[in-house]
Amino acid sequence: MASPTTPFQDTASQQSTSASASSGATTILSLQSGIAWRQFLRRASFRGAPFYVETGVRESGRRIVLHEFPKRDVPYAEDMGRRTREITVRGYLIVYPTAGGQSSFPNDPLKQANYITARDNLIEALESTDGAANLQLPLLGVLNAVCSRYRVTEEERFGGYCVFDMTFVEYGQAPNTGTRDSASGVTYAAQTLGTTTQAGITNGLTSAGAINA
Amino acid sequence: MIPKSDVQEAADIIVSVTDMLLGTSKQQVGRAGSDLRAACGDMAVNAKKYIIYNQIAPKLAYCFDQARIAGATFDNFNRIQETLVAEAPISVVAVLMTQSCVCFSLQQMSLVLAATIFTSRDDVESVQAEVNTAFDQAEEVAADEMAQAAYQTLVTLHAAVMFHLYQTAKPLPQMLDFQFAAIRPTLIQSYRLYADASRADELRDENKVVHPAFAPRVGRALSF
Repeated sequence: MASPTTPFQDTASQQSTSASASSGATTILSLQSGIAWRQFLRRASFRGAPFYVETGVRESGRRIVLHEFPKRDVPYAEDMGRRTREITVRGYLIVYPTAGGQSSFPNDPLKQANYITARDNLIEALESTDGAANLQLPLLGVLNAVCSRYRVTEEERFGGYCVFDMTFVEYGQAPNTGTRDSASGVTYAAQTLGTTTQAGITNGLTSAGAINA
Repeated sequence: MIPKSDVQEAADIIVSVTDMLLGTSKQQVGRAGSDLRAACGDMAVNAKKYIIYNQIAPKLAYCFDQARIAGATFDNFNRIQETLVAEAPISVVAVLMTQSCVCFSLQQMSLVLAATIFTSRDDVESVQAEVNTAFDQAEEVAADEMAQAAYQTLVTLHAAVMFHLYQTAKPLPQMLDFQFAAIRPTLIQSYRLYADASRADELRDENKVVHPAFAPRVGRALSF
């Protein structure tokens, strides 16, 4: 399971990386400002299974609890933290026109005469029990995410084509589950009580007139 | 010098405590049982001398330790503690011995609990209630006596035990009641409840089934 150090790598950071990488040479793409964004396009994939993207929607925000008070005009919007990032993607897979059934791109799973393999790979990646994985989207960057729901649609009139409606949520971090070793705490406290009790007996008997050897 | 009558009263209490400690593990054989009998026998014979010469504290603690090592249970120590609380000693030395033995009992109860493996949350909760009762009484006595060090250590141990029980109970299953339509073997009950027939013995033990082929249709079982 790939897990980047930061849960979300922004497109902006990719841009700066690309810009610095291309700072040495000016390309035609960078000169044509109208299409310059295309150089940031990435092929979409989840857990290594590629797919084409029709739409990608990223949602988040702040978890705000609104407090309204009687006899007061001003409310209080309490910030309870960032809302979970959720990405809704409409992706698709489609057959690639090939001459005589032989693809010119034998190593590209999306450019094959048969889209079934790519579809099954994507389904397997979405249903995998391996936990979170990298979700790469064309322009929305990379998110370490899990697929909470997907729907694959195949229509008779669109042969060789299927649509995936997928919902991903960021994986985040598991809460700390470490616990104190409570048994050793009991042992230590019990030993302390034993020592204190023994000292109490010795002092009490001394006060009562015992003969100290 | 401690008055003779005070020494006698305190020694009587110590002897009764050693008898109770010996009673916790009569069946115990081997080195642990032998050490316990030797320690308690020595204490019963020489209690007066140890009190007069102020040597009793470590030897009394040793007796309690040996009883635990020899296999005394939480209930054994709790019974000793309850018996001592019910005593009404008169002399200062006897009161000191009684309260000290209560503290030693609580100490051993805690050590036993720290090493106990519980199987259900209900077991832990019933022990929690007993621990609270025992510690509350001892803490009240220590507070009344203005024994600050004893009170503080008692409260600390009480808190540590309760925290340990809370931590222990968290992952444990609860006990639930079940009811089948007919009398069935524990094997079938186990399979119906857990999809695992290998837990039949667990059901038999929990519900004290006389014959495993005819288990009562109503019973209790762990929730998972």
